[in-house]
Amino acid sequence: MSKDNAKSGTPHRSGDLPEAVAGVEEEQRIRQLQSDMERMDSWLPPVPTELSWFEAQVAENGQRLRHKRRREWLFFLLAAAVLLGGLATALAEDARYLIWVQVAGLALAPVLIYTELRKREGKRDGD
Amino acid sequence: MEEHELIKAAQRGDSLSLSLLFRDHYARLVSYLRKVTMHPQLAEDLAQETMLKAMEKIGLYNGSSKFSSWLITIGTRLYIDYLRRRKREQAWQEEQQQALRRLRWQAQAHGDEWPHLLDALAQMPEGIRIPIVLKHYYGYTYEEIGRMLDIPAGTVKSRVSNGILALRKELTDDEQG
Repeated sequence: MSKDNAKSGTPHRSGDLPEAVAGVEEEQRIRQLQSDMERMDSWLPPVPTELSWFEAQVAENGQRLRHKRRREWLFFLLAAAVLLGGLATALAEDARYLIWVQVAGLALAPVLIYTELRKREGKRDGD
Repeated sequence: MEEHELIKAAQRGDSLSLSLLFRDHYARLVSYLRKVTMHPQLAEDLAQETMLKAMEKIGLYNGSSKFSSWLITIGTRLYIDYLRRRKREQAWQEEQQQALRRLRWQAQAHGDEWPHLLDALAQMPEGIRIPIVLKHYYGYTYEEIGRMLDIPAGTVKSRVSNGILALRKELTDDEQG
């Protein structure tokens, strides 16, 4: 039985087998597959378990996340600056068509950003 | 400290609690990723990416699934995204074959023979391999797997059934050949 089984501790329950393939042979195949997968870990190097290694990873990842957030903010600020600059130019030149394009861009940007962020979170986190 | 207390502290930004949580779940995550990727180096890279993503999204974790399942879901989706980017590359096919050869060699180095069943599993598309591992090794229900992969439970069930049938056929052909 798999020691790292997530749920009940019984990796396979015969009731879960599709009817068409239920049978002794399939059960044996599945048990064999479970046992082979369990052996796989013993062939591979062990993974780190020291707390200090994880603390270092968390510190490094924290740094990466801070850089990522800074880049995202810079991008948003740059986009906003471009739109506002365009709006200022359009206003100065009294170009009505351009003014409306810039206003629409400024109004739509937060909606698009919010939708995209929600979509990403919903897709990737599963919780 | 209990796991839910660690999670709460990690959500408040306590890095020691986060480190303790990762330490408790990392081995299991890598072990899972090794089984679905059949590529130990990629599994470790994905586990690292999973930690990064989990740090980024820890505030959104609401406890409706186990923390370990949440990490497995993130790792699985990162793997699927990775394959989407690289699958069509010739270099990726070669890299995957090399990883499999190394795995065979590592089994032999431990005095074991690389099992045909794992070979057959490795040849399957990830859309079938992942549900088989989650169902028959980790014991998740079809509904849970469906939520993890963002597909209906019925689709998971048919993929697992077809996968087991294909595994059986592959092995029967292998034994006859």
